[in-house]
Formats: sequence, C-alpha cells, structure tokens
Amino acid sequence: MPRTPDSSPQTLQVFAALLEEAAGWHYGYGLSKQTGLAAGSLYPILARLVERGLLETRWEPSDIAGRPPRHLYRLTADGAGLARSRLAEARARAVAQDVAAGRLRTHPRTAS
Amino acid sequence: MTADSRVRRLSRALLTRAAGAGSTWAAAATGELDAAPSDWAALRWTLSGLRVAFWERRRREAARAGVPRPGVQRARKVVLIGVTLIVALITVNWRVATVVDIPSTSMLPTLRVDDRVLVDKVGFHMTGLHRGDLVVVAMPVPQRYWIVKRVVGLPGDRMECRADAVYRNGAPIPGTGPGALGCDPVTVPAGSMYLLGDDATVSMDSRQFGPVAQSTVVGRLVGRVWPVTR
Repeated sequence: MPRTPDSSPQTLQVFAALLEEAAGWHYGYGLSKQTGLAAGSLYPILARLVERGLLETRWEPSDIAGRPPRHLYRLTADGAGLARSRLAEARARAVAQDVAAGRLRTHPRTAS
Repeated sequence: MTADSRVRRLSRALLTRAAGAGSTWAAAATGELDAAPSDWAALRWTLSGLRVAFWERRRREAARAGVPRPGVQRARKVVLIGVTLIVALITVNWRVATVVDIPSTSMLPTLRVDDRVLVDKVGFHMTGLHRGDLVVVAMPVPQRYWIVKRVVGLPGDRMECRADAVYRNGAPIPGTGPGALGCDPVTVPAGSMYLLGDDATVSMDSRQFGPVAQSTVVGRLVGRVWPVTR
C-alpha cells in the first residue's frame, strides 16, 4: 500500500480516466478500457473511492427487459480535487526522477 | 445492444450466481457484460468479474463476522508474536541456551570483559566436546561460580608446560605462547578435560587446578551476542 492513500499507479489511472470528463457519468466497461485495468482490479478501486466519498454512483436500468442494470460513476467535488492533486504530484515526481536520472536537463543547451 | 448469444447468456447467469444477493460490485460487472463488443471479450470480462464476485463475498463475510479494521488485526498479530517470542526466550534461556557475560580478561584477545556470549546448554551433549571448544564451566570451589575457558585437552592427552608453549602429546598447542607457564605434567583422565584461558599470563585454569570433570560443563559457546561486530 503506498504511503499516501489513493496514489497507487492503478488508482491514478482511474483518476485520469474519470477526469477526462470530470462532471460526467462513466460506465464501468468504458473505464476498464480507458485504464487498461480488468474488472477484478478496477472495481475494488472504485469501491474504495466510493467509500471515501470521492465517487458517486447510480444505476441505469437496461433498455431491454430482463437485463441487469448498469452502474455509473461520477467524481464528487472532493473527488475531482483530490484526483487532480494526486495526478499533479505524480507528474512532479516523475519529472524529478527524470532530472535526477539525467534524462532531463533543467537548463537548455546553448547552441554551439 | 449486442445480440444475446449463448455465451453471453451463460456468462451472465454465472456472474449473477457468483455475485449472490445483495451484491453491488459484482452486479455492476454483470451489468457491463452487454457492453463487451465480442463474445470473446464478454468471456474475458466474465472471468475478471468472477474475481470481483469473490472479492466482494470475502468483504461481506468479514464485515458480517465483525472482523476489526486491518490496523487492529495487525496490532493484535504483533502483540501475539511478541508474547510468543518472550515466552520462547524465557524457555530457551532456562534450558536450551543462555547469554553469559564475560567476567574477566583471562580470555583475551578472544573475549573481552562485558562481552555477551550465547551458550549452548544442550547440543554439546550430543556432539561431544572437542579440542578448541570454548566452554562455560561451573567451578565448585571456593564457591559456585562460572568460568569461561577453552578445552585444549581431552581424555588420554598428555599435557605439559614447557618454556615456549603448552604441549599436548609432545606437540605445542599454537597460540599458547611463552609467559607465566608452569604446571605439573598430567594425562587427562577419562571423563575430564584440560582447560586453558586464551590469555595464559592471567588465566587461572587447569595449569593451576588440574583437569576438570566434563560434567562441570554448563554449555559451549556458540557465538558472541554483544558487541555484534569486532
């Protein structure tokens, strides 16, 4: 478990997918395709986010009779805020690692 | 909406069954089956959905059984392990092994005063004592106290002190070098051993009090416990 809650790479992927349409409702299958996570990985993450009040849910009954309803998810205001800050932190960390590893220069090379 | 093939029908039934009543997340996975573009994708989704079903079941059972939060469970485990270790240490210290403080300089340079050593109280009975072993011996006179010495002679060995070293069966024992030597030559009797301190100049050992019965051995040194590095 990462030391900061809600900061595992998979959770960050879920955040990114949800933020692509921050105010909209998302389907589970769509999130799975966007994040590349299988249902077995995705739904526990969604469950945790709901429990923390970062995600709200609703059921959409199927058009066809007898079929099960679909579950939809939307970021709450808190959820959107946390998602953005976690992603920003992760980006900053990645940049710092690249600089430390010499992959990024902080100063541009002067033209020779 | 995609056509309802047999594969999808079966998968839906399987997932619904696995989810059970009152499921949220497995039911959500079931509801997404129709979104799969192909039967093969539906099958893969079902397999992963089964994992969700089992995960959810475990959660529900844990909640129902009143299992406390993971933090409390971990704390309980730590306490249990700690208590077990303490009990084991006490048991071990009594019978199997113990830690002994080195009281004197007679075992320099090998052991210093206030070093702590681990003593095996049991194993040496099975392996027997060997020349070179460091042992803890209970000396009966003048009062009962423990000393730490090295076994340099076993039954049948002829021990004598010469100018340059302590000799065993006519050969010098390396490291027993010159210095306050002087002892009566003796053959180690059966069931006894000849003890020598590593610092021969200060040590009181078999040179002074003669061979000692092996039954007085409390244990054999296994290693130094403190300090850890030297």
